[in-house]
Amino acid sequence: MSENVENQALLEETRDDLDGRFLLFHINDRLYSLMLRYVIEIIPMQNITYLPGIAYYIKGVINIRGKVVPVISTRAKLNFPEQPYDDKTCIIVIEIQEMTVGLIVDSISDVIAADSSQMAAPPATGDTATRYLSSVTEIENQVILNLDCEKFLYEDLSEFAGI
Amino acid sequence: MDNLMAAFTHETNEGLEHLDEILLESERDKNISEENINSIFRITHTIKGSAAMMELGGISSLAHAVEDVFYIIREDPQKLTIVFEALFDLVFQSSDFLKNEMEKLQAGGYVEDDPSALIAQLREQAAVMKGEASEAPAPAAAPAAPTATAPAAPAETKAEPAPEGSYRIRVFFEDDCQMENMRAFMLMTQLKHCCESISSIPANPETDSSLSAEIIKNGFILICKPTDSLDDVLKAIEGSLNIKTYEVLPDEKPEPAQTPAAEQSAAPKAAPAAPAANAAKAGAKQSLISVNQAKLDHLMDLVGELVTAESMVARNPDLKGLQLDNFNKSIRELKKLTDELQDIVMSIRMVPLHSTFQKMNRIIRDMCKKLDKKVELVTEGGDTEVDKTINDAIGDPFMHMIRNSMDHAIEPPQERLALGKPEIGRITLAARSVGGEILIDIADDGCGLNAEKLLQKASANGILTKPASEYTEKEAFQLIMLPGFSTNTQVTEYSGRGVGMDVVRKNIEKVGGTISIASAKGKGTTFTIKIPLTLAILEGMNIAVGGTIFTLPVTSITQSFKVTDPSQVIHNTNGTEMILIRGECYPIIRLHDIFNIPTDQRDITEGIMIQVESSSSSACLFADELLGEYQVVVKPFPAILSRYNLKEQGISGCSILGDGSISLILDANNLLNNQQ
Repeated sequence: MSENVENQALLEETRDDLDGRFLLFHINDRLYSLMLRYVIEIIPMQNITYLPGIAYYIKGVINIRGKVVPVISTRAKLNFPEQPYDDKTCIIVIEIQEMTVGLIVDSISDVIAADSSQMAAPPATGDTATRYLSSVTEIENQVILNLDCEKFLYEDLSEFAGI
Repeated sequence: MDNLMAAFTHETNEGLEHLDEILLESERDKNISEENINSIFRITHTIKGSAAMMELGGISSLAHAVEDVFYIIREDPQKLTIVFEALFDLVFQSSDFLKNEMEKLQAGGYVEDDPSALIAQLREQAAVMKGEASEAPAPAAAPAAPTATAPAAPAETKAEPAPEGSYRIRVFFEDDCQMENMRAFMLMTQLKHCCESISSIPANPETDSSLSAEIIKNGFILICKPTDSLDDVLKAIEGSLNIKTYEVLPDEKPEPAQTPAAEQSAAPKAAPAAPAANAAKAGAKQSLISVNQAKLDHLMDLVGELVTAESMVARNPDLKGLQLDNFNKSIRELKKLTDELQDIVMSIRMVPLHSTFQKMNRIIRDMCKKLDKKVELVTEGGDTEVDKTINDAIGDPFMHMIRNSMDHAIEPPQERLALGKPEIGRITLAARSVGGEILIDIADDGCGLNAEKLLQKASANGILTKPASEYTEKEAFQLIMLPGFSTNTQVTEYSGRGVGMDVVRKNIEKVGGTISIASAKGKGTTFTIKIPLTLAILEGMNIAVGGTIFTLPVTSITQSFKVTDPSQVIHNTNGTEMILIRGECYPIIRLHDIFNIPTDQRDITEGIMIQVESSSSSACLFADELLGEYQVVVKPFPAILSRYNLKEQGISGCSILGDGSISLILDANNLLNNQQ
């Protein structure tokens, strides 16, 4: 409990340093990133408790130190075929709008710093895969798709905000 | 400082609530008892003193003005009749003003409001009362400074010698401890609980900081009559901060008072009827402390974790198959203690509904005046206790429902008489506890719900889901709980925005409650709210279905059994199954089917059958196996999942088991309702 509070304080302090830094990860052999300031921690794949009657991409809930956290399969949400979890599969735990959510990704790659000048607007194709992007960056000949957490979870959060 | 402020707002709010209670009671009786006058006196005096200490001038002087008015009333209760109505309105307004200030203080960013209009009106009433009297100069023009208290004048003649059996104690504060007058006041407050009566020289030290000099020079003289023995008082003094020395002065005739204000001091404290009542109340107060609710919540969480940790140890997989007699003995001991601890923590959090009910009284009073209706509130079972969080959560819904009843249901007096009803409408708030739940009825004897009108309105608003003719009366009543439904054509100050019942239902459901409506046209409407006693910990049976673990509250289980003879099971043509137990037929609910859980255990004779009971029906759940009885800490689902209405599917929450996995808590009521 108090540990959490301390972590929180630490988080607030370091949040400024986190701006402009991105966590890279793979989904379906593509390189994605999300802003590091959303990220709480990265944990290995857990036993997920199934819940009936919820959206297909929400795989259920997990227990993170006494807290019940929903986990979302990024593959399912981005319309990629799902594949069995392996050693590299992990869960990125993010905090957004005061809610904690776990994102299942294929593997974690790196943390990079990038500034806005390096980013280009995402292609406006409007399909699921690009709809959730905030920008596209090219670093060392690799294309990085920057996931916009707010957009990515918009459908899930909007309902909540409305209540 | 923050702590002090929190204590101040808490204490003041409590005082104000009590004040409202007294006022309502007195207004109903058209009279005010001496005891109540003294209570009001005490409350306003405390607020005045503490507000002055917190440097809240406005609050302090308003409390002071109210105190003044009641001073006059105490001297001569007859005078009250002159200004009864106006005065009560004023005092209510003052109480509201103060409550508002408290809210602002609690919210932070406090900007003081100016109570001078209220104070002037209070003074006016005081003057009216005094004008009728032959004595005492009109205090209307008395300066706002609390020092020159208006009541000082008439009191002067009354200054009594210290009551018999009292002692005089001279106290010196430490040099340079600052604010001696405040310290003196705080000392008096501390001593109140061990003294039958207490007064001081100089009197009312909190009102004038210039008295500090005098206290430094002459010491602070306490005249007190101990409840038990002088020793208690001296101990309390010793235990106080910043006291340099104290001495008990020889019992002699009290010194002539040094200031006029000093003489007044004896009056309020030595009021004839007060001491006995005071002592009794003080005695009760001694054993009460106020605790920050966040701490209680934390304690509750910790106890929850402790319970989980305990079962983690007791059922540790490492112990499997070992012969551990002593260990088991110790675990039993531990379990006994944790159970006890849990019970106590629960009971700490339990508060009677009384104060919530009391607040409704106030709303009814105000609305009666505004709407020109006559309504009385009858409360029953106010001593029923519920968890604090639940108590807090139901205050607003209640208020909404009472307002609705007042506004829409209860007819104006003439109309009521014409209908042959008693002129005074009646709203009943009745609470009773049934098993692990509390039932609260909110009933009115107004016009009742008109199903036809409701349906018309609903179809006009486009919220009907099937043709109006297919709605039963009960379903029609349920319509008022839908968002965007309002039968009142006019939006009033109190209700009619059409958010009311919808929000009421949501709030009640948030604490795990349900709400139902019964209504008879022309006779009235009764809302019945069913809420759990407590939210946090549940005695449950864990059952496995495929890879998922469910927890079923033990209270809803009737029995569990294995089906030995497949012929007991009756297959209906529509694919549903029934089972015959002792001549009665119950539907079978296959948990793996309704929740879509893959499992190998589909054979009805292999798995386990659990007969459960909801409020209205009974059924048998089919699961893979029983895992045993556990105490689980109920956790709500993350907010993101709230849109999926898991509750309506029959899953009310989840809990973390000893091995860190999560179980889903089944709610028999919703589960069975879904299957019908």
